[in-house]
Amino acid sequence: MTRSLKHNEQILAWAEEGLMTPGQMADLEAQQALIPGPLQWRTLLERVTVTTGALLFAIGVIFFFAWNWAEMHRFAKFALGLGALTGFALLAVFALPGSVLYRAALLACCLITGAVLALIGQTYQTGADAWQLFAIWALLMLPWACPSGSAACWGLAWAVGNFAGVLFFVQNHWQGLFAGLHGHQALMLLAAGNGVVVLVFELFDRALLVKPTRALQRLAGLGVLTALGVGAAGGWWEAEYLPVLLTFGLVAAATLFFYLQRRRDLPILAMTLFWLIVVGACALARLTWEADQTFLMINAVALFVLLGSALSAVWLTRLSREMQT
Amino acid sequence: MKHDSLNVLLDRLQVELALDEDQRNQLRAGSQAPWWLSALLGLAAWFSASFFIVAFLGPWLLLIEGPVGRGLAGLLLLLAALWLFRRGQSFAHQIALALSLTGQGLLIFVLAEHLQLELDNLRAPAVLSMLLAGILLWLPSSFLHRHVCALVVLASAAVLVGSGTGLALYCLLLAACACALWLGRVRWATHPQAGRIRAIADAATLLSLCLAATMHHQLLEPLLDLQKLAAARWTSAVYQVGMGLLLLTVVAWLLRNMKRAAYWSGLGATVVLVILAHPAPGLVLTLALGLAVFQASNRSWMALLPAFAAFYLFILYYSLHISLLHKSLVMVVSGLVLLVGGLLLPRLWRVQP
Repeated sequence: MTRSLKHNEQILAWAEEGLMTPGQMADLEAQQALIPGPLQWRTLLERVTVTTGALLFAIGVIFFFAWNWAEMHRFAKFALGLGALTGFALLAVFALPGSVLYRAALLACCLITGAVLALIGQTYQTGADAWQLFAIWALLMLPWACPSGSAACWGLAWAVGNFAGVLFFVQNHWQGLFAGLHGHQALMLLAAGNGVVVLVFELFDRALLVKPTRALQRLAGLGVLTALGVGAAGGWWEAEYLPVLLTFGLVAAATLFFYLQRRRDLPILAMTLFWLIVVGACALARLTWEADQTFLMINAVALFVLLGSALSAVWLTRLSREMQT
Repeated sequence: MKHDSLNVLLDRLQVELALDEDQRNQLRAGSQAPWWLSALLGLAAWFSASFFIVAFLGPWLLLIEGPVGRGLAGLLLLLAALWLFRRGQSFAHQIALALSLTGQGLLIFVLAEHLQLELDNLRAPAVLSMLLAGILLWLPSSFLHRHVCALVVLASAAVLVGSGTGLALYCLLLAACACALWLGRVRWATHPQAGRIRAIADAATLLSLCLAATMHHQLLEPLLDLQKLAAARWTSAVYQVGMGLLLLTVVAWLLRNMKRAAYWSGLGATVVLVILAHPAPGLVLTLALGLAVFQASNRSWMALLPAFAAFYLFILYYSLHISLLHKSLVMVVSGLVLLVGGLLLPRLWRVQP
């Protein structure tokens, strides 16, 4: 039986740590080489060529529209963009559902949808804000991402949606224009949006992904913690952000409980701990700043971060070992 | 690695190598911390160290005045770090990492202050930093500390090299070194210095990618500077041709045991790709490193390389060395070639499962 890549990697890591003798490695090597076999190589090459090919083509289309070729008639540009979109959609229709080609074609559709949207904005000067363009793009990606079952498609939709959220936050923080929302409300919205993604993928990941992974839950978890963490850190300095600080405390406690007791997930636990350290360091900085103790502030913050990260390392390493026994 | 998968592997090794219970337990306990945890811990240690350095340069001066006092403080911090590294615990290792970084930073600052160096003349601190990190790399320490030291050594060397054709050659050397080390991982995995070799391989990989992204402007766009036109052409040519040759060498090495037809068709396809993608040498580099780390079964880099490629495309978009139209054509044609190649692959290369 061929050894998996994961097993080869672990064996080599043990050897590097001095836990396997040269004799044992030679025995293993004699039974089966510690490098990927022909089938593993072919699978990799198929994935890389098809996915990279589709991606490069789609990005090439985006670059082409960004060039804004004045001599080219707008209908020709639309024909090009929609033609590429149709081409990849047809490729997906004729590909085996769930195959690499199928997922790569739908990923290209996701990207080209953005290019076509940008082309509409460029041609008709719609006057939309940048965050609106990205938000619509993220929404229009969903019909491609749903049937794809591809973590890459969902990840792209998540990234574009969050980029729209960040642009929305920046605009609302300074101007409070859209629906009278302010910075802290925009951050709460961003966190809530990511929270919904976490919930959806915790409940329906088997239906939404061909090969269920925890990547989306972790990415969206990072989104929740980052949005709330940034607001919570600001909460020590600006009263406007105090509700975010309180929400962060509650969410961090709930996350630690859920991902420790119910569904153990080390990366999410690590992110929560590190955001707690950041928010704690900001609290210390604020306290010592008020006391006008710069020397104390610098050392206290450094010591807090160091001890906090070291204790987190010990705890996370212990959890990691527990999960392996 | 997950619990189930680890148990499967340990059971299999028990059959293949007749492991005793002690070694089985050692192997189970010896699994390294995941890369993302190491990255977070490294970041926290670096942050703490930078704060401690600022603290040392400020009010601590009342206690340890002058360069000798501060140098001594730096040395004591390094000794404390080395002492802590001998205690094999995660907590001690994390503290030691921060102390080591603080000590190195203080010593370098003292030197820079003593020589009254400007920001544009960093050669002397780079030499000291390289020496210090080089010595610390060879002393017993943790996995993460070895990686940080290897990274400091290689980054200091980049500062010493400076810019222009020298930097382009250095980038190539780093990338070639990383590829060679990953391709030969099975051979050095049991070497007594394997831990350090691994640190150098990781650091060379990371730095070659970082330089490809951050130095993209310097490596490919100096043509805009008319006064240095001839030198700039050399830099650009050396870098682009070098990366192409590197990918070809990696592919040739991987295909060396294949039949003649497969060998030459693989090389031919790579030549076409190299010619098409030469305006984006960062992508060629990513592909060469990707093949090498796959041969080394390194899944962490396999996950990180696509993320780098996406970041590189973002940089390429704003790059001025060719027009957007040119970039667009390069991408569309390269994409089509790859797509067609990928579709034909299962027919051309049949493998029995």
